[in-house]
Amino acid sequence: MELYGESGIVPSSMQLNNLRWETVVGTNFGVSLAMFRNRFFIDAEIYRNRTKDLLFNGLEIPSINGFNSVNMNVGTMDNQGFEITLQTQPYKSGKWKVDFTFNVAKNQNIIRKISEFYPVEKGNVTTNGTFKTYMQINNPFGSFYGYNFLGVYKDKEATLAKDEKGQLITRPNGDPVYMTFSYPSIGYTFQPGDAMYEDVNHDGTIDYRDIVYLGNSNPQLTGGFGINVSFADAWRLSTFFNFRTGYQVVNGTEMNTTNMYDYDNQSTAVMRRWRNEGDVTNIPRALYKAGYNWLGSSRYVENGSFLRFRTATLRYVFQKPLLQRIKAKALSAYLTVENILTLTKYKGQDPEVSVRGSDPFRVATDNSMTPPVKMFTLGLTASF
Amino acid sequence: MRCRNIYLISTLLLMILGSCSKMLDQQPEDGIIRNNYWKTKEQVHAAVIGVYASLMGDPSNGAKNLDITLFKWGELRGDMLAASLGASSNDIEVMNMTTQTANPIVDWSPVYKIINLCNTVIAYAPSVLENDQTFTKDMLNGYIGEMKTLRALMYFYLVRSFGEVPLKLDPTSNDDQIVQMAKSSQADVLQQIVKDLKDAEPLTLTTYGNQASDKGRITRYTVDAIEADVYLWMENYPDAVTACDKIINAKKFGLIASSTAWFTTLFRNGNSTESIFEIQFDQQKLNDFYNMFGASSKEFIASNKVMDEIYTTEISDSTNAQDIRSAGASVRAEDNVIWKYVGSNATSMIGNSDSYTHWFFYRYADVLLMKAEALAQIPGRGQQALDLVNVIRKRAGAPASTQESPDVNNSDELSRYILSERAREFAFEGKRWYDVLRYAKKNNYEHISYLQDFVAALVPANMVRLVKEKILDHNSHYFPIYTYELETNKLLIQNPFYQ
Repeated sequence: MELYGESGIVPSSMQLNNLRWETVVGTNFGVSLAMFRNRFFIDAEIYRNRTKDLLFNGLEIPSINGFNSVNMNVGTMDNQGFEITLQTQPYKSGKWKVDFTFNVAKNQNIIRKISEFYPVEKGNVTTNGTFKTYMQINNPFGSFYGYNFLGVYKDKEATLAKDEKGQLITRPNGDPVYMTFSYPSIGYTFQPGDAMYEDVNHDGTIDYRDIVYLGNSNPQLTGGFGINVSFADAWRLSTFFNFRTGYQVVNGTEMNTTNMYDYDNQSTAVMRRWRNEGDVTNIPRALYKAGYNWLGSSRYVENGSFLRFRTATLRYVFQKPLLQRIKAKALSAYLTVENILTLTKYKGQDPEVSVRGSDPFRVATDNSMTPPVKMFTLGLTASF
Repeated sequence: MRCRNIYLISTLLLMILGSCSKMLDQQPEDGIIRNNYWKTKEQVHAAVIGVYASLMGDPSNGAKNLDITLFKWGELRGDMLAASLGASSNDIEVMNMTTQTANPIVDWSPVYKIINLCNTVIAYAPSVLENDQTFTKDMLNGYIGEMKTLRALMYFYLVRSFGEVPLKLDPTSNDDQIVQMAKSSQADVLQQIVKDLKDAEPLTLTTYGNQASDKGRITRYTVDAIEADVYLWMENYPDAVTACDKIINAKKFGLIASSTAWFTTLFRNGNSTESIFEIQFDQQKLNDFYNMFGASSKEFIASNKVMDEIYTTEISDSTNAQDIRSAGASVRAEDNVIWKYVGSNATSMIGNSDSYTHWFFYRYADVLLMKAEALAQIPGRGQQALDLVNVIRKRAGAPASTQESPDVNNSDELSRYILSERAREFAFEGKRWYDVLRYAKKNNYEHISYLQDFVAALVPANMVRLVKEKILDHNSHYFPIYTYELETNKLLIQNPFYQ
């Protein structure tokens, strides 16, 4: 650095005295059992991978230290869960063979010990589109919090603040109080057409005291199963299904296409938006870069459980006489179809959001604009 | 065969182990580590210059620059700015007095970055005495004085902006020194500021032998100017007068007389005889002001009030009297462009690559008006205060339309007049909000209603009632602590107004 011709020197980063190697200790316990001449096979495993001295690149530190981030060993994290795999051949007779496989798993990330510098919460509940998440020691990652969305204020009267008995809240002089957002620091007064959030504590203002548990990004169970049927060693049909249960997804696509906050394209749902005093709808009015209509709330949280028919393959294996004629060792033809069908209550495009990762503040958010691609593959495999 | 394999494997192992120990003891190739620093007086000097250079911003990591921060903290809540096309929603939030904790404008990291650099020099420079025999105690003291003063100035910005802040006086130069800290009270922070300034005053030099260093580094007069400002904030008027007198009696400073080159001499070129302490932007290190005030996507213009009420320039005025501080200095009258940082003279604008007008911490005019402000509060010295205001007005050719004739025995009338004069003199120099708050809060918030009306005039009509209620809570006069700091420093407690 230079200043009026003299050169200056400043420290660009701090000295690291405490950096250590990160260590991972994996423990697992498994049972494999094969019965009935291998027609029934079960494999179960419980595991825990404990990461000690978890290395965090660029951990944010209080800026009073003059630096914003540092590489640090921040704590101990467990990645734990179980997996069960089952394979059976429930039917076999003559030329027919039926195989069935099933697996189910649960995986959790749990912080056991954490540096005092590691943040314990993330998310600002006065900012649109943000959910609140906390990191708790010995509790799995994944819970997220926000407001409870009740609809849209249909008219001026609807924005009057009410106490727990449903009575109007009034000022000492008898004037009615209107609902506000985060009084007094913001103190925005809700207008007809604005999103209505539940005033949990009935104090006439929507603020951080009104946030509630909305869901968990971590599935209770994930797994899959498949049925394979083969006939006479020539035809083989294999199928695979996967599923997740007990988790909530934030429909980020809905958020982005109905917020009417910017010049971005919007969903046709916004045609139903509130326009005039008295309109009853669940889509708030359009406000360009203003308002609090798309705060992280129950409006965007949906049950993400699903069962997906992921793939089906029908394969025909050509038999010896033909192979000899064309001098091939093996030849087969197949048709594979992927993403055939998804059974879910989720209204967005794809409930299968990636949920792995070590960021404890991650909220499973689906931002896909198109459904998973349905793919048809026609193939021929040959070896000579 | 098997033997050869074992041989091969063990060679590989040796290679891995060998490289391992080397890897753990790597020294950076493009820098110098602290163990090898703090050995010579040249290194101390370079470190001190590095701190001043850092006032211009930190080029290494694209961090927010200090100039933007100081400008926004001092002016956004004032009455002299209006939002233009490039204003962000964060700017508007602060201007409307609805600042939220996630607003990056309240990020204090650019200020603490400087504080940490000061702390580093203060802590490590003394050890050089042992290693370099040519480094004298006096030289060391001079550097320590400069760093303590700069630290005090940075804390003064923090305490006026946040009220209560963590008081960190030790350096963080390695990861054992990373700390979390609770806030100290406003009184404790001010006490430390006063102590640092008192320590520094006798240590600092009165000159470094050239104009640029005398204005770009802290001299004894800089210490006095900051002291005066701090004492005004603390309502210690006699000491504020004493501090100002030290500068005045040195007879080294003067007001730049009105002329066609006035603007260029004082502001564009900088480092004039009127200047006391400035950030030395230059062609190599530009400031952010062209983008903020000059570019087509500028963030801010002057509010209509600046020309209409603060300078009251009537175009139809037959005497043609015009305040030299108004059009062509603070503002370009036809489109309210904030001229102070983007004018190259009274009429032509600089280009993007010439954005290096200095940031003015203190100039001599400030010393005179600070003294006036202090005198106004001391019984029997009102006339002297008024005389000082008139010196400033005379230099500026201030027209009769902004002339007031306060009763010299009425400290309040005088203070109000000085407050208006300060708006004219220091337009857009990052002082407006602090001036207004200092006026409103004195004598136990005697003028809280002035602040209420001041703020009510700035916000949209539908927010007037709310904002007036807010101002009654004194905590609302201070910024919230940035969310990031609360997340990373668990000992911090948010300003209760924003909880």
